[in-house]
Amino acid sequence: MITAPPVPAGTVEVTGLSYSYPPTHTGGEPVAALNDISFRAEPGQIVGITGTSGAGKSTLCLALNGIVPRRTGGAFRGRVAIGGRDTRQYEIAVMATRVAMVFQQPESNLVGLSVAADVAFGPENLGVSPSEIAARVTWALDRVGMAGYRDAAPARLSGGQQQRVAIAAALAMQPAVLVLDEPTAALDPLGAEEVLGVLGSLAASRETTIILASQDADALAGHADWLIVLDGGQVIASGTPPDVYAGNTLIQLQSRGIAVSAMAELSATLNARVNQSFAFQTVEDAHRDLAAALSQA
Amino acid sequence: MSVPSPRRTEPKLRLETVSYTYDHPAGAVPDFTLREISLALYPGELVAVIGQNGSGKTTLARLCNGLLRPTNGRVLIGGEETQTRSVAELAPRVGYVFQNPDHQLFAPTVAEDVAFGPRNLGLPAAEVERRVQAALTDLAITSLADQHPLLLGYGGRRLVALAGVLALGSPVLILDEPTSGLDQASGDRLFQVLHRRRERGDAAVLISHDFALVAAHASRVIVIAGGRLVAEGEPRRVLTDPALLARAGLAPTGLTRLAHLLEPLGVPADVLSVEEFAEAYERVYRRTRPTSAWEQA
Repeated sequence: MITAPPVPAGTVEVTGLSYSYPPTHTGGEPVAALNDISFRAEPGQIVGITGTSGAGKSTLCLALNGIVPRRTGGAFRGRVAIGGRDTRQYEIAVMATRVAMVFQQPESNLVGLSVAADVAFGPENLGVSPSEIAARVTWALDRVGMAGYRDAAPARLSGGQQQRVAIAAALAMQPAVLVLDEPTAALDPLGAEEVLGVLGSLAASRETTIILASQDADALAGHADWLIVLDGGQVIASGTPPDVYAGNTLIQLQSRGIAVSAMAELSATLNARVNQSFAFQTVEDAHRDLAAALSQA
Repeated sequence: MSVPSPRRTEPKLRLETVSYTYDHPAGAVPDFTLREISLALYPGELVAVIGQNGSGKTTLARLCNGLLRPTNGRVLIGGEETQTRSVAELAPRVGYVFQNPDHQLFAPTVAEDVAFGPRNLGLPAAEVERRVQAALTDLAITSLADQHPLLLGYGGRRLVALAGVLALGSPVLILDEPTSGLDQASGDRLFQVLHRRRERGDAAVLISHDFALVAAHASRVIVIAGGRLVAEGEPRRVLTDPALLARAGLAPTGLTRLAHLLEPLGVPADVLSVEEFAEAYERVYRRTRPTSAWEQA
């Protein structure tokens, strides 16, 4: 008998996924949300999902942990598999231990009186032993750089710190996949950088697959390994950030009202003005290329 | 854009040495969230408030619409103190868009949700309907009218919350991170509405971490740090001054960082947009490479 090689627990496979929400009222039409989405993500990757408002980003995030369609009903076609297992085979409670979610508002992720209590909340509900919970809390807070805040009140933390605690709480479930829906939308730029830095270091450990839904093109350009751009429930572009935020794809995104990274927009604008082919994505690269072009005189 | 210059007459909104503390422990020194803030919002102005998470921006917003009453000092809306008015009385005069849309959505359909505010103003049904349609059209979400607001994605929920506040027609709007989670096109539509209303003399306070947005739309910027107003001025002066921003725990945009890095080569450090940067760079480029025009010909 031939057995397929084992799929890593964090491998995300979305194949031909189409989904419509049920009609909002009796006799109404189903509400189409996703149309033939396919992509794959592996442990160690940060896969960014971006697109217009209502393009289907949040629905896609909810399909990764099975809430769509198990809680929402509606018409689901195609397949979503985590670690090789179809999400529809699992109870939501089981999926929650494999795919953890973090949302945009830190306060909606935080429930406890202390940082440690918050991080312990998930595993406590799974019936994990107290000594194991203590170990997980210490480990998770360490991973997000919040080890020194165990006893702090979450409400007293900065937005970036709160969101790092929310990520630690998700990590304490020891998920194979971490899905974040607009995790930096409510944060100031330094807080957002803190959170993105944590995601980068988690990815570098190669233990977790990270799915990052965001409208922040600069964040995606700086931190995502792969980008999926949705419009009207369909994938209209995908690739590495330098591929997506360049050339004709960049023009297409702009024409559809999808934000592109400031540095990509600048390189495209300059290419139209001076006889150069800039393709920088970061401030540092832009500095190097723009200074070099001036010194070639 | 033809927005009337502020007539230095009666401000729409005035804060007179306002301080606020959430807790007054007996005998203890109160921990002030805001300290001695004074500001005036004149007709046609769009004043941006920037500051770190936790600097007091949201508290400031809630004082402006009477959700909170000042511990010390006075808040005047159209010349009247908020202290003496209920939030319901103030709502027609000051519209407030919460940062978290879920704090203000509750009706079974989008259209019902948007109608709630104007209906509560006691407006006739036809006028309520007209305002609902206008708000949905302005934000290009008429297709969502029959959907359940809480089934929409984050960006969609934000648009519905914004439509609900626009439909109130308040002459002063307080917008707390109105574009976070929105795509570029939706954000642009919102500001088209705001600028139309400024032309008729309405005014708005924009709380945002998005300095590109502030640069594009604000007439004045106020910087809050540790509950105090630490700087105030035109967007160009405030947003392109890294030292001033650093004092408030803020970082400049990538574009401003790049402009400062290239300043020694002749690019002005105070450009505010990609377009301005590209224009300035092209000038320097043509000066440094006088032959390039010939090469291209």
